[in-house]
Amino acid sequence: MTAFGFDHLWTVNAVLGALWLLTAVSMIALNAWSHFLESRAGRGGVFRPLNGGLEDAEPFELKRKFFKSWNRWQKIEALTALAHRAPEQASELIGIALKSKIEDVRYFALVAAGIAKTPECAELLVKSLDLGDIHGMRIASLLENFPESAMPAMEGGLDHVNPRVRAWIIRVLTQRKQTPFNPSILQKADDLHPAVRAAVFEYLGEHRMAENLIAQGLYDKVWFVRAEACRALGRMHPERHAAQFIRLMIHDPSTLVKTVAEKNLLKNIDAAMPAIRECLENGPRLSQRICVQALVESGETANILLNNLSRDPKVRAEASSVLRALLKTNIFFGLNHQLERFAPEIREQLVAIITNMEPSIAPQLTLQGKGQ
Amino acid sequence: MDAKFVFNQLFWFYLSYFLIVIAYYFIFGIIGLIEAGRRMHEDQIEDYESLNHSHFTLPVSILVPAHNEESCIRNTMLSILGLNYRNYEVIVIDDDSTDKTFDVLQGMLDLEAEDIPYRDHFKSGTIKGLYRSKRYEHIRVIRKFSRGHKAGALNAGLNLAKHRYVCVIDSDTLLEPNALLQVMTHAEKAPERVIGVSSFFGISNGFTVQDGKVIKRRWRANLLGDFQQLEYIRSFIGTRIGWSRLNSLPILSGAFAVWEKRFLLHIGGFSGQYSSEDMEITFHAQKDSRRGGKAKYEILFLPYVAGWTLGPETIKSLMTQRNRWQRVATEAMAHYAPMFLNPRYGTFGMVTLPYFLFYEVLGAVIEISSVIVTTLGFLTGLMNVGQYASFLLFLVLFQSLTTMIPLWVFNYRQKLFDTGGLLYMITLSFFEMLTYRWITTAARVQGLYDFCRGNHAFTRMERPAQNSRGNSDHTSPLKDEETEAAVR
Repeated sequence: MTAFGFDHLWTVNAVLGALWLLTAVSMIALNAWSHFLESRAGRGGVFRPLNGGLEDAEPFELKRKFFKSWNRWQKIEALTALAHRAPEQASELIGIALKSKIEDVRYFALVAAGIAKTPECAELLVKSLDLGDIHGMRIASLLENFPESAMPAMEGGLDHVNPRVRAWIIRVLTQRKQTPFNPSILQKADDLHPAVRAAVFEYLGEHRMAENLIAQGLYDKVWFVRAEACRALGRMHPERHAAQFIRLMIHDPSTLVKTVAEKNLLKNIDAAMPAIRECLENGPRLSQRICVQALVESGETANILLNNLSRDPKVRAEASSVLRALLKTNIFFGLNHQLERFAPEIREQLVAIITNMEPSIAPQLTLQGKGQ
Repeated sequence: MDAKFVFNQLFWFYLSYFLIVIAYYFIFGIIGLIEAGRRMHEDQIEDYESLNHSHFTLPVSILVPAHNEESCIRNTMLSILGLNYRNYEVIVIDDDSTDKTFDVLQGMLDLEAEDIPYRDHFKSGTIKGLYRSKRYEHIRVIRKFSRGHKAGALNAGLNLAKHRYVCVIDSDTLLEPNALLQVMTHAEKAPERVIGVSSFFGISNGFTVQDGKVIKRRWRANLLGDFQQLEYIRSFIGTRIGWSRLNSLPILSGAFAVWEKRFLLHIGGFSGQYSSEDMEITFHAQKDSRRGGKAKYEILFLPYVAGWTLGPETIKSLMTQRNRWQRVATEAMAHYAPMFLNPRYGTFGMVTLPYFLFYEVLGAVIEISSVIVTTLGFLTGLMNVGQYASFLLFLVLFQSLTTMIPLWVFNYRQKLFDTGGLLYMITLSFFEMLTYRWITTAARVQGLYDFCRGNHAFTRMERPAQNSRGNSDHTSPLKDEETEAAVR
């Protein structure tokens, strides 16, 4: 083989060279051509208008293009152009496109429905939620921007047999702040499907309605429904349900529910104080520890200490009872660390009060401040 | 067995190797062209505005690990603040910086210490402090002692990230305003399937950048940067678009990638045991996804220009970077070797990994040995001058074609270059084999050697001088109105 490898390498090179030349020339020619076309069409950026001169096409022409074209992108462009130019005529075509075998056509039919924003298109989007082909989140993002005239079509989905449709429709309604409260959603709080119940509580929380109904949701058997109910109460009057939140923090098996309950408790720690004090005085050991944790995380322990020196007898009495309860739990909450932050004279007074309340704790207290 | 026979056999091997690689690029060029075409159509027709203004936009936590990045962190933060995206938080992780990175952040963001519960799920290193921006509520900064390279920093961010998707970017990446919107649209369509998305990004060396925005792209300003630009196009467009089509991507680059947080938590976060985390996590994802046979998840790569990143500006730092990349590729390949040519892992095991092993891992050795062997053959009279010259020309054409095909696909869809710029890039691709290629090949061989010696160090790249970013003083704390104006 002086052979193939050496002697025919020039032939290989000639083929590769020709290929190279072809690639280079076609690249430059195509580049120049497309820049020329682009400068004529004036396109650029992400939010580009449509291709192929469809912007000025008549609806009839767009429909014809949709049916005649074998190219899926031309079909899709015709559909979206029609949704822009003649929304009232688009729904029929969108309905057909939604049944296409091609996934891209089905997806962009939904996008076109979101552009047309007619009640018929809203109905089609609601039906698509039932199919489960495209994720509900994308469909919900399209439904969210429909005008009020499409509301009846959307609300029709509330009684849909598929819980996925019911849940997404309630979520869409939750985000439509301008839409008035829909009382029929209250009945869905007993829905058999947990996703629907969770969506209902989110809706009620957003509208600040039916507080007692939401509070019942704290006892739901599904964790994410309880979490949603808890979150909804947090948006309304968390202080009224402090005892419930403490209960959830102790007994709920779900970490998410515990976290939401704790956040709610911290939202208005002053209002939650009576429930916390009650728990510190009479609650079980675990509840006490969680209450102490809430006080530490909210930074309230420093206030409790300082309020013990208040000139207002009412504030002083209140703070004194909480501090006494806190000390009695015998749970570590960084008392020395808190004391170190105060000026020496304040620290001395506080140590005296604490020693008076709980003499057994005195030897553990330090009189040293930071840097001393 | 005489020397001539051995030489002939070796020559055949090299020739076959190079021709197979070209064929691979051709096939993937065609797949890439089809896929890029589909993505560009989608991009053109997609209703981004409805998504951008919706309450149902998937929220994203953007993680920005930074170690001694005083020269570029400000521009990166400004590019993030300029994103067209409704719902995101930013977590900057100052990974034990010894320069003024934190001061720049402090001046720009007006940080205040915050006491929030922080649980280190991944042993990512001791925290020095947690801060929240007073000016932008959605930005937090973690200061920590370094542990576990960049992976440790990312894991620290992961501890605080609260959203379902996590976007990882380098602290020198400048994102295009629509980058996140474009990639997240694909996650939004099928969040139960898509666990990772990334998109093309190029090299910003020589560009004029002002307040986090690329003002002017300049191609002929920096030769080393331009060669890297070509290399990025070859790597991203030449194979990754095609791999994405087959759902068998081996890497989502750490410079810009979106991952589903639940998946990251499931696999225990980013691994600090490797020279770099991005390739390992993608290999891990592919393995996890295909455990039961058919791929459960999708990892996508898109052809949109998502941003720009700084490449090395000196040969030394380029070699350091490529050495690390080679180690990463070899480590990942060695660790996940059972997936190689294993039908259980589908196209990933059967199509991606063979290319990966023979081109990315062993390619440097094959290329360098092909030249050594043929030169020896020429010197010992086994080849004449014409045959030797013919082989060298073949190498040049090989290298240039593997770049030209992706360049063709990329420019046909993205129209990044004007005609002058394109001519320049074509010329550059022709001379790559004679110049730049040998620098990276040497670094890759060195990387392979370092891997064999057990070196897993995360060597950090020297940052180019500030003037390449067209900015004046990045280190001086910005006044409120300056940052506000830049963000606007």
